[in-house]
Amino acid sequence: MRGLIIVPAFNEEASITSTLARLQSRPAGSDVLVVDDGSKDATARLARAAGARVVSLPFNLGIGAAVQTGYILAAREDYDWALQFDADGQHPASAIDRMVNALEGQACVVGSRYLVDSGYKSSVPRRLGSRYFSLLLALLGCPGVTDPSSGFRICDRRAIALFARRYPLDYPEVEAHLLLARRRLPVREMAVSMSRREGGKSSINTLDSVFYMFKVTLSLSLGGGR
Amino acid sequence: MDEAFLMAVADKGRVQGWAGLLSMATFLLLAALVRQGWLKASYALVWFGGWATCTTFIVWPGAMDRLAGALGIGYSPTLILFMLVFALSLVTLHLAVAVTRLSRQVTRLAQEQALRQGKAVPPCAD
Repeated sequence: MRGLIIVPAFNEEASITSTLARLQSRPAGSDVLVVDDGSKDATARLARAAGARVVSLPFNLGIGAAVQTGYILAAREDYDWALQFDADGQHPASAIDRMVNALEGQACVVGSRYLVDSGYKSSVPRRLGSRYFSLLLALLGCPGVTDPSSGFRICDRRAIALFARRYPLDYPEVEAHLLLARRRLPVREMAVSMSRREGGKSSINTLDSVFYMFKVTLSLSLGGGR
Repeated sequence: MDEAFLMAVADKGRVQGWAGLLSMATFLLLAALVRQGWLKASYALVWFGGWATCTTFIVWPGAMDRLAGALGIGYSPTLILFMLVFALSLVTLHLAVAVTRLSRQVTRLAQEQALRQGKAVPPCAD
């Protein structure tokens, strides 16, 4: 089984080297692709120096387009699975093997911080936001999602083909759940414990949060996932 | 005939005259923009629609009062304002749709360019 680990990165020079070092212990037969999303810092250079394959977008397109670039490459180069892995050090490399095994019979497996109490401390607004989107997804026919905004996910060929063709560009994680559900592709969550980011800046700041809630709600309600 | 009435008819004729000239100039400008390729024919449809509406009211000035009456608008210039706001909203919506499509195309283009460039640069040994 050939796998591709997609690491979208935007101005992550503080953490990219350690993130890639952790990925040295990845499953055999898997490759690492860093999608540099128009970083202004040394992210791409450091990633290349660490031995990763790097695709550099000419300017910042946002997390959705960066991740989709990875899926397009995974589809074209015929990978069996593709895994999204944050460059900021939040995702545990040690869980990748379990994710690959859990993919059996599933189109997508999502690492959840809230499936069991893993001790992950997130802010109250973030947690409330997660609950809100879980409820919204359930109302729209996609029940049982405990961590809708988790970007730690692995996809099989079916989901790779779908995401290479169509992937939400802004704040994509929540809408991607609906995209899979609408096509009746099986998805499950797997408990993982995540760390706090090592460096860089989150793609969602406090001011963006309101816009984020509004945009995702609108997008989901008006037929997101179609 | 009453002199004031004749003056009013003459004024109306003058207004129709310069409005007609303006309309013709607008049509020529739109046609030139499309011909030169500065305005896509599909985008020009909205503008030609606006031009046709204005020209109808210039050629047939009574149409405005009739239409306003039919719509229950007592003061017919209000209809002009309403139509103007509606037309501008349509143009704005049209532009937003066009920008969205262009943005999607630019994204795909940037992804393709990055993937081709990424292929050209051999990855370091892992």
